[in-house]
Amino acid sequence: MMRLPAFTYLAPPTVAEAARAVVEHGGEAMLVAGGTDLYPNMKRRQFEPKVLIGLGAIRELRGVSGRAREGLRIGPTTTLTAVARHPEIARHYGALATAAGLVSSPQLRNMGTIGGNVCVDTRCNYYNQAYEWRKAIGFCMKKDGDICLVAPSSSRCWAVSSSDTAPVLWSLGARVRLVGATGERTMPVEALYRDDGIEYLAKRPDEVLADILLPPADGWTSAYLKLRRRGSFDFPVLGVAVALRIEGAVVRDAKIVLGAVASLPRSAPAAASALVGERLTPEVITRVADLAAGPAKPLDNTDYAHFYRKKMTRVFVARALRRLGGLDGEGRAEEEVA
Amino acid sequence: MRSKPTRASSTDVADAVGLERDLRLVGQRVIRHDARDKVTAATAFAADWAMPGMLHGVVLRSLYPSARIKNIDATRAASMPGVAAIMTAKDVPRNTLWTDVPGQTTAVGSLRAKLHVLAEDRVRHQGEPVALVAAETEEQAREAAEAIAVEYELLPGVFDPAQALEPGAPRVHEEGNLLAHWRVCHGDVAAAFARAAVVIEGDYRTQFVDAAYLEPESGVAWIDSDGVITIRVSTQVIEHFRDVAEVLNVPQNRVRIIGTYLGGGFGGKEDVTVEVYLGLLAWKTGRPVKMVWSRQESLLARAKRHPFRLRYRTGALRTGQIVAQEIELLADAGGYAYLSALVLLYATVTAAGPYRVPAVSVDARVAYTNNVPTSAMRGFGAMQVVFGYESQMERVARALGLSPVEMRKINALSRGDTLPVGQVVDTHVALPELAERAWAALGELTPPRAPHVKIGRGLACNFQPYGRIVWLHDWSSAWVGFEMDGSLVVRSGVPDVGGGQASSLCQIAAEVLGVPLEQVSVYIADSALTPLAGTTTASRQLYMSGNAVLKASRELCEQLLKAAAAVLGVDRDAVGLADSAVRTADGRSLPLPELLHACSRMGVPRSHLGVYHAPAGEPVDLEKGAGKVFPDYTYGAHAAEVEVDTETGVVKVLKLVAVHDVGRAINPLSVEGQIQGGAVQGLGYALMEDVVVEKGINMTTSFASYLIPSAVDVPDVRAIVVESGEGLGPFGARGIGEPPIGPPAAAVANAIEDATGARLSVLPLTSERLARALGLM
Repeated sequence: MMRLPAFTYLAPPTVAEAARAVVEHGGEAMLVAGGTDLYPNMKRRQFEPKVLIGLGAIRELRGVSGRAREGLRIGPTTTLTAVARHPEIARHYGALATAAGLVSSPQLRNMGTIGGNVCVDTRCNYYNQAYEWRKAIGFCMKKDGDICLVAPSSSRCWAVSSSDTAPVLWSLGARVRLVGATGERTMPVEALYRDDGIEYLAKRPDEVLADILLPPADGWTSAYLKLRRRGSFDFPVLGVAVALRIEGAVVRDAKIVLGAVASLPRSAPAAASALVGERLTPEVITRVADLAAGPAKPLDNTDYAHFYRKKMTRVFVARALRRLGGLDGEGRAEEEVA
Repeated sequence: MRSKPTRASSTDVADAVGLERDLRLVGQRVIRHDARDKVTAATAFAADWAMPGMLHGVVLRSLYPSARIKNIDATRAASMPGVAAIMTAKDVPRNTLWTDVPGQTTAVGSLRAKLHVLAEDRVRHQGEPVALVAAETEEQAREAAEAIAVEYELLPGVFDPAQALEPGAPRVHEEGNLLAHWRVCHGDVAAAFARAAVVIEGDYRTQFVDAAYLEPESGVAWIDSDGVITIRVSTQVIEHFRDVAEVLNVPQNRVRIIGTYLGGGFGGKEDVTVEVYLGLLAWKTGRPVKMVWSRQESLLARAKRHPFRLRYRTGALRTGQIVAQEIELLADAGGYAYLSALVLLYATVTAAGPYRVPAVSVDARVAYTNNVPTSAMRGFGAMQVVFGYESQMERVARALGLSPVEMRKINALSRGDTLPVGQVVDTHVALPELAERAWAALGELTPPRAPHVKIGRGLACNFQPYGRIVWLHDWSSAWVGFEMDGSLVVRSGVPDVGGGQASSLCQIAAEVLGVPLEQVSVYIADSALTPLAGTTTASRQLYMSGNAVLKASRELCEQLLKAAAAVLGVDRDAVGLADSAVRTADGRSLPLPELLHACSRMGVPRSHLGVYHAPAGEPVDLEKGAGKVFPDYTYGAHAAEVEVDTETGVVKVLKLVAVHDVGRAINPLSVEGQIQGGAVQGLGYALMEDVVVEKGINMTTSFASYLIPSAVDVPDVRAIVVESGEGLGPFGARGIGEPPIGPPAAAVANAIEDATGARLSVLPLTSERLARALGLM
């Protein structure tokens, strides 16, 4: 029931060869980095690749380079532990270090990579189940079936984006470089995501995530708050990423991005605009938090009731703003875990 | 009698003392042999076993909670590579196991409950075993199991015990859905309510939870060279060799169970698990077979703790004295009876709590549904009711302006009181002291770390029977003997579930026979080679087998000392055993090996088989309140301090103090381990654990969705061990395996009310529920 099916494992030495291998094996192949999400999903037969193309041997994909002044380049197979502990990231892109450090458990962060977290499969209570279970209840459209068990009248899949780092990277203005068999392109990280639980990545199968590029830190401060039931292990059921550029106590630029409330990270541009030119007073924070909760449209397909997650969006945005504005002495981000 | 002094020890109390100061080993913080073996990975657990030519067995399980099996076609599966055997119900010599459910009310009558080894024409819960496969590899066995074509016709099901009892509800079993009904009527309840100054009504609900042991169900079976079907298995009950024999239709002496050290039991390995299936496959193939259930199938289909609906109406005088309890209990048995009737009996007997209540009525029912079956789990029915009665105690105390400790002091049972079922309490009840100590040990109130955070404290007490129901005539046996070199052997059929059961027996034998602990070897849990000791359940093993070892050791000591006196030419009273030698009053000594050789020459046995019979009684009519139900009870008090985030409803338990009167701690390290482990498991029950079953479909079949606390989710539990010496076990010990899981849920709920004024009455106490109660949404 929970055995890993047989597959062929390839370990190309370069990104170009990895991309070519995908083309060669077509729909039978998948890319794998740390495998902490993919392998359990294969055991449950959410994925049934015959060929896995491992990225671990590609040296150019691993490690962090550059300075915050000019912007950082993070290799996608850098482990989440390495990202969380990287001094330059922790100092200048605090929310990213926080988010990477809140993914799953220490053991999985030692294996799991930031690229894997950026591309992590969407999740749903009816999908993240073993094959027999899904067979019993009737397969859903995300795998083997043709209906949505969360919203049976829906023609689309509502599985939830469950990345901790994606909303943070978006809020930080990160870009990603994709290398495919026939060329490469660089685009804002948000362009990587689609509003569909099944086709949730706007990346061709042969495209390999080759770089995660952070812009110059340039006076930005950031925070990430995560809602989950336990202090470890669990995927986010709400993530709030806030990045602000504050000059003389006045917010000059702002980004607010929500995770785990839709099939892709959701930005809250109206809320962010309302911050610009303002000081972080309690009144402003309340108004902005109300606006930020607007784009959060969670459904009942993760842990916690959807109305609670919606409600908590407001609370978590307010807390993130209070923290960045130095308005409270409320402990560390980890303590916000519900 | 409440003033009887009790002594306490705890990790940080300097004056920790035992009751009898002259004991050498009992009461010492001994590092258990099994603890070292486990952390160095030396222990061969059930799944670690392998044999030449071994097959791998798997169970094909029902996809649906309620369906008729129209056809099973295994043709294709049988021809698949590596497949050695496929079995369905028709291949099982005796497919139906019957159990008598005792002591029903007349409305239900006595009941013979049935359990099919493999489903016949219908399935009654999701995950019910339908077929078995044995193959050369586990992968081959799983592939073949999936290739078995089972044709189901879906049937209407019933998924709520209240609905199951309505007229016209789909019948889970032909006899109807009411599985058991117990009643207690004690005193004039109506009159008592009439004189109550305050009456509090409460409606509480508890959830399904899983045992979630580290080690899933597993074992290996083979037919030994003597033809005996031998099964090495992780079980709390080696006596299941009888069930295997019955299913195979072979004599009971042709089946042997070897119990392994367990990676946890918690009641989940009290019913049969893999052993019957292993026996069938080994018998069918003639080859060794291994079966290890995956976590997923364990979470899916193994028996859970019963969800209860508990309705309480409590009347108290202005003084705080409880005068009446009117209690209605309804529990969900799931698709099969298992131990549901007995679980309900425990709940019925303990429903009014460890308090003196002159008028009590309890009406308790358990119904079949098409949900996952429920059965034994740590606390065994005496746990769910703690959430009911301790929530009520807190609410009465608040209504009358009494402190939690005062409220317990006013109402606590004491020796000589009569329980609602008519049992006279004949041992010391330290409840007031336990409550006081727990409350005091919370220390300074933690200041709130932010304006939106509130701190609160709650107390909850409990009592839990230890030892089996007296009319089951429980007994245990143990063999204790010396080898010629003075080393000691203890044999007893005790399964060690991780509580240090084996190690404590060694301590007792070494204490009595005057040898160092390192000189003792212990053989446990082998139905062929160790004297039967009964189940490691019901917090009974130290009590029962500890007494058996104590008895055997004392008899052996007596036997040897008589011989020693003869050898040395002194009176029996002038000799004793100490430091592996016979010591005389006048300062002479005779090394043990020399005495043992002398015994050999004189024909004096160097071993003794001790049998301990628990105090027994005849079945009582609970309703009439006729007498004793359980041998004795263990009392406890937990105090919790919580932090509530009033913007999110998130509860964090900052402190938990757990105090139990264990009578006597044979090994305080093991006792503290039991208390801390039980309390943490109780906190999981309080805050997050929840097997979500929707229309019979289990939504939580992995540890990504069935959430148990991680190390960062619980505080360091402060265990305080109180020793009254009043237990029926060896040296005055009481059982402590189950009791510590009882109080945390109520203690946390009471603390939440203290912090916020909001009363939660549904478990688990999640942040959504609290957010709603706080008006946040």
